[in-house]
Amino acid sequence: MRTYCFATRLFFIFSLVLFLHSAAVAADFPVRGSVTDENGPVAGVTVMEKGTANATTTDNSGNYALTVKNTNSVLVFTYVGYKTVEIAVSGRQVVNATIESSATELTGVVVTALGITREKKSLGYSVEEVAGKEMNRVAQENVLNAMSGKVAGVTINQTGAAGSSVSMVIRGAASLSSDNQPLFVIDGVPIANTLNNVSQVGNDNRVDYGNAIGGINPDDIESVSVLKGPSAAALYGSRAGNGVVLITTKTGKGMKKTTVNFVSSTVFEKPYKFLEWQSRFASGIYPAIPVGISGNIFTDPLGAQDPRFNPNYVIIDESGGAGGPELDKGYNALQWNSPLDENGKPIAIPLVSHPNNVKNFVQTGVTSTNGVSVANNTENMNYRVSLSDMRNRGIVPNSDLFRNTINFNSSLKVTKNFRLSTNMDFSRNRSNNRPAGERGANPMQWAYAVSANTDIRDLKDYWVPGQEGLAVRSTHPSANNPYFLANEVNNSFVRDRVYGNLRADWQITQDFSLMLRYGLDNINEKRQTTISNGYTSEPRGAYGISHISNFEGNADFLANYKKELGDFNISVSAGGNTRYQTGSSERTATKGGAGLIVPGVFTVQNILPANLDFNSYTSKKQVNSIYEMATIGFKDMVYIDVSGRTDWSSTLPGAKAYFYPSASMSILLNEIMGISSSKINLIKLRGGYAEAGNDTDPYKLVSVLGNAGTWGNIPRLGTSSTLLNANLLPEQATSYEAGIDVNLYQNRLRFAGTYYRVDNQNQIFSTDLAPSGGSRYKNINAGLLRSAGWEFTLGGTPLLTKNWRWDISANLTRNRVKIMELASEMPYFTYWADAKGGAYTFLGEEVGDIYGPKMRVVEDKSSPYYGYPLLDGGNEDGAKWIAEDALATKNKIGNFNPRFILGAQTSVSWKNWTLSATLDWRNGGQFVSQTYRYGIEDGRASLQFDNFFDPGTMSGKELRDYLVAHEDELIKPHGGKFIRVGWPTPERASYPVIISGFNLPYGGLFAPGVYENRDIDGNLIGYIENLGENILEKDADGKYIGTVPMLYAVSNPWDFTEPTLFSASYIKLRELSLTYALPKSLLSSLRMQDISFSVYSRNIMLWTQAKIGIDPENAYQPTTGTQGGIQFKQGIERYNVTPWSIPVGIKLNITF
Amino acid sequence: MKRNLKLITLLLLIAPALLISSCKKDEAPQKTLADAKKEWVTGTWKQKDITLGVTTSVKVGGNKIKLESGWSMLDHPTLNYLLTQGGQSPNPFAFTRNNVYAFNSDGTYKVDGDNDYSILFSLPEAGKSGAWDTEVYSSVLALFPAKDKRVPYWINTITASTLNLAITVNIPGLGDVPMNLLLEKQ
Repeated sequence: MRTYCFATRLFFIFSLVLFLHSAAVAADFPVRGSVTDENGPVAGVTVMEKGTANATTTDNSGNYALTVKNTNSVLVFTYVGYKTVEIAVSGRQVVNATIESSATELTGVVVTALGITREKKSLGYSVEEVAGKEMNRVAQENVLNAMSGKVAGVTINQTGAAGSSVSMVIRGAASLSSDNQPLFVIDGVPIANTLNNVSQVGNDNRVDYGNAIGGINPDDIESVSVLKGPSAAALYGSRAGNGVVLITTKTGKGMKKTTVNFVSSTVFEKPYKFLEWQSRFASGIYPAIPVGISGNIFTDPLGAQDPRFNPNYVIIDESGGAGGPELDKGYNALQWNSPLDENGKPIAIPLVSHPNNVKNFVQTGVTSTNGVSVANNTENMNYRVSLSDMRNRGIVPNSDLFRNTINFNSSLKVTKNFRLSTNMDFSRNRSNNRPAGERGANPMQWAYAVSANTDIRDLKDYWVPGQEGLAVRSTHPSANNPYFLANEVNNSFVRDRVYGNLRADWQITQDFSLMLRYGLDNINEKRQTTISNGYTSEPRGAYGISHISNFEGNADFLANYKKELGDFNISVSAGGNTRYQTGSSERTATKGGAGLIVPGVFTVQNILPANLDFNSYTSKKQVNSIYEMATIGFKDMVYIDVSGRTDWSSTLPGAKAYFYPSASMSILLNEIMGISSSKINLIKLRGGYAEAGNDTDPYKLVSVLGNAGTWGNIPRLGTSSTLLNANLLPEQATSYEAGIDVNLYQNRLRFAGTYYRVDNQNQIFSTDLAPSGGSRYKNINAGLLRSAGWEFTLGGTPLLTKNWRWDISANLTRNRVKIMELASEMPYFTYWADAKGGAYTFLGEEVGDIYGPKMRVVEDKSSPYYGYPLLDGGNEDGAKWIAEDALATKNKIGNFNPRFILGAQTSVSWKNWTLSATLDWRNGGQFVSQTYRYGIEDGRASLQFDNFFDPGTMSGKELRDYLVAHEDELIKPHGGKFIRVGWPTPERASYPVIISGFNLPYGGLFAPGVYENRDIDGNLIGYIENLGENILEKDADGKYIGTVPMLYAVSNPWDFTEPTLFSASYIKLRELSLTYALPKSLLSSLRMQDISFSVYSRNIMLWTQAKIGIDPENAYQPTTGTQGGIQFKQGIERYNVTPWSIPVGIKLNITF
Repeated sequence: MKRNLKLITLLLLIAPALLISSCKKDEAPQKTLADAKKEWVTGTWKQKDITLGVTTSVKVGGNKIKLESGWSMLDHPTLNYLLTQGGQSPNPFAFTRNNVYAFNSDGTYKVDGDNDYSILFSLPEAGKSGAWDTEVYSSVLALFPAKDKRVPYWINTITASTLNLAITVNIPGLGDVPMNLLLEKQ
């Protein structure tokens, strides 16, 4: 029976085939198939029946279907960047084609706005794409770090250690009201990301919880397109002002079978470079010498006044600075950790140096990432599911970071013309402890504050024995124990995120298609801080919890019509989007310094009601949009794009409509001129004009009442101190862009150059008001910021043989932003004011200018002392420099923006080996280091010694004459130098100094300069030299008439910004990797698709011009922002000093 | 030919080493301030003065008398009045006027004065002779009047021709008083 059935079926099928074959020869014959390249299916390939106009294109899965005239027809497969392939149908119903990239044509299509894939040559603006494999050669915690140096015009800065926020600024920070971060769009769905993720519970416990983009698993990324200017991003309207980053995730397309990929990497980060801190002097304010050694009671002035005085040792002050006795000289001292004798009295112990304190405090960081994905592709469906797990142990003890992701991506061909696809991503980022930054609870600050006379490891057992949980061992009651901070100030968080979309694509006709999509992004984050008793700013502990949630839903549609009309190629799209956003937060915590009821019990119930700090916030926002775009191509020679978007935003007055137009043109000169040489492959001119915007947040139009605390038991309500603006306009960015692309020698040499200018108008910012009006600030719409710059990209393949391939590319960026207009009452805009100076930008000047106090000098040109520092002399404290106000003098000392940024990547392959490197050179710009400012003031920073001039054996007139002869280097202000003559100890010339009426025999330094000589009526009668003569001499009236030295410990230029202004130039070998892939022959015997093994390093070479152990990239300091919350200040850092490390990683990639 | 090749190879190997070694500068060791100060101490010094090292005050008969740092213990009228108890006894510091201090290059020293008071009121505990050295970057003149006795004196200032030593002299009724011993090189 079974045999009969089989034979019958076989006969039936055979007959059917014969029938169909004969029918096909005679009439229309349907053919289908798929088109692939080396990477899998290729969408958009034109499949044409040769000799006819009968054609179609492949869909997203690379499939096509075409009815040809007969079974002998020939199919022609064409696609830009690929060799044309002709295949005879020969009676087959399934004709699959494999196309090869052509070196003679421009390669590449890119994803543009709204996810539309376009041929690169047709674009009239600059779009750069980074392939996923380029980003994943080296494992990075935050995907943005993987883009560093790879895209012209993009500046990426890690604001701190691993897990901290990463800033990405495209074509300069031209917005005064936003954090200048671009819009991130994953598979068409905008996702939330902001730079300012800093919050605190407890005093001075600022914690950067990292930006949400860090939750993406880099291994899920197929490619990233950067839409740099409004021309490229105009279709995103009021969100496009800072550029757009389009992330396309991996799918199952192109898989020939069920494919499992396993990626595992582990990276070890050993700290090796620390701040340039001195280990010569102990804690204290005077470099004392035991009286028994010196024979002079004044060499131990503190001890001499102490009842514990003993000539055999010194008594040091451990409350602050490191200007105490010299170490390793055989001196003994009473110290914080002195053992006690049988009578309970401390015993003096040797003063020895511990130069490796910070090195001993930090630990080797370890990050391990494991990921697995399963993917497949069938005729009707493709899918990819991935799981990843990242675990990071930080360099700071007890800090960690974890990330788990699940990504699901699938596409289902429901009918021939209808496809459903979805992408969902679930991630959890969490940490048991993110160490605080800035100053306060930052363990690194206090690790660096441990003076060299203390071995930091003595502080490891941080509880006072018998008082565990209540009292902390520290070098001084005012000092924090870094181990305590690392272990007992815990800032944990859990961030759960879901984003994704559901999408339907309907090919209604051959020319007309419709896309419908709904996308969402939902973030739920919980933060908890526990602070045990003992932190100096929260001595009775603190506790706080907060819950933050954000939701954004986007429903959009896009209709596309494509038609070829003779020499014209027309594409028209129209769509609409409705966006709905909600945000809320709740916070309950102890008020700053209020403390807990019971130590170590971390619950809200353990906070007295009067000590509770609580608030909640909620917001909603909706934006409706319509947009339209048309592209006209003529003979592959000229392409013109026009687009427009209209937004109605609920956060703007009356939800008024705002229109954002754009137009661009691409001219292919090589086509117009008919150049068909294989040496000249592309000469393209492009240009564009566009307008885009920056919307505003909710609650910016009308004041609302908020909790203003209580008056006794009476609750109070109040409004913001900022007067809001009910007529607010969105920021408007108008962009002009022009560029050229040239590809030569079969595309092995590629060049692109772009000039752009963006005028950013209607800036939203606050100006001061007279307090009598009831508000201190008012929000206004004003100003014009002009961002202009150049971008160049040069790439090529210098070597290409059977076994060798060498690719190299470089990009160069120069950007400048100027403030062209401001409000009439504002002569300048303040980015930040700190360190006695600030980043102020005056009208017509460049954004990023840093101003600092100016040293007062003799301005009388007829005086022999013209240009000499005019010191504040005449008193016992010494003659010191006078600082004149930074703003009043308009004393510009630097700019935090780079002169240019150059990024370079290279990859050399030999057989199965690949060596890749990414280099990043930032040239120019400066930053202020608050860490060094404190370090110099406290006597810890060794670079202070660079400013101490050693006169050798010179003294008196000889020294004075020498200084005058070298006045340009040793007296007059130059290059941020604040020269002092002398040394803290008698090792070199060290001058007597008067402290509290005591004439100390050494420890004084003098600032070369002069001070005013005035008569008894106060009239200036001349200048008194402070040049090394007549030390501490007075006239008969008791007035100083000679050089007046300052005590070493107070001789630092605290009142000036310039001494700690450093060059921000650096060169980083950001990535270096060596990969070995197993040969195909071996793989096939193992039934594997791919096995590769990599060793890599990040920042293996980090050269900074400043040479102070601080990465200029970290010059971001959190501060309370003018718009509320905490924001970052660029160009200044304070204790953002995680040591440099050389990460060494290994990575295994297996595909089967 | 083979020998030539070997020679050339050898030369090529040696040449960089020669080039590098020739770059090394033959610098004379720099004299430190401490070395210079010790050199300056060496020699014979004549006493110029002894001055009060601090500004202070004393109560005499219910009157507070201010004493200024830098006043000569030998010649200042106020101090002289106090030290001689209004002229009733000699000023003990006057005995130091002709003191001569020799710090010999062999590490020995000798103090010559008019009498025993000459040393007691200039370099107390130093005795008439012993060994000397400088310590703490030559800011301390350490005298060793005996093998087991070290007496340190702080060098306030020193040049090739002048020496200012910090001394502490016990004045009966007043206690230890910081002073400066000013010397001139002979």
